Amino acid sequence: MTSPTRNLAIKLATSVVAGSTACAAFVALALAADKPSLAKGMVTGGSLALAAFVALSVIAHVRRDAPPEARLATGIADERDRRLATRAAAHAAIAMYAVSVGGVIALAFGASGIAVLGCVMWAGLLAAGLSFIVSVRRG
Amino acid sequence: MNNSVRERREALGLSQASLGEHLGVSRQTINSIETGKYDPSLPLAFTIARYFGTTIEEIFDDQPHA
Repeated sequence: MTSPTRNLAIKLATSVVAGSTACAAFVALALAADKPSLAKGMVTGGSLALAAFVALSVIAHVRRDAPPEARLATGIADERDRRLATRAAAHAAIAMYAVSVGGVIALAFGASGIAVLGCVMWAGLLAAGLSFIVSVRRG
Repeated sequence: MNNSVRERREALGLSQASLGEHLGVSRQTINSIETGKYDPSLPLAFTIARYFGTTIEEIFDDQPHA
């Protein structure tokens, strides 16, 4: 096994163990609070996030011309990649703020707090993803 | 911002990927700089200028051509 490949394997194994441990801790908390649906969601979300991280790491390792998201996920991003990520984070913050304003109004009208928080979280994720994709496509 | 990175790179017979390797950035970043879609940071602009053995002003031009 070559050194870069061994380093990648060590990094991936460490990341998967750390991520799984963190996820298991949150799942245990959810189960202890008698929230099996939340625990199931955490297992699904955590598994998807870990799988995406592993896939992007392997892509960045194998492909010489890896996409920006793979370079960001594996810590080899250059200044343009980081600028794209910063812009996406800024757009996510704006979207989350806008949705949280609507959420406060919805809460005043009796909306569920967990539903409002979920909307804020998804608005941020969608805005960040959309902003990143558009910025990458535009060059 | 207009620049002469593409002309200077091609004069040296380099690909975007190999220039990117020399400068420590990705091929996509070199492409974005050459097409004027991305303005490099000052440190990267200095690195580019030093690589081509010239100054930033000789490579980058912020004045629109008539």
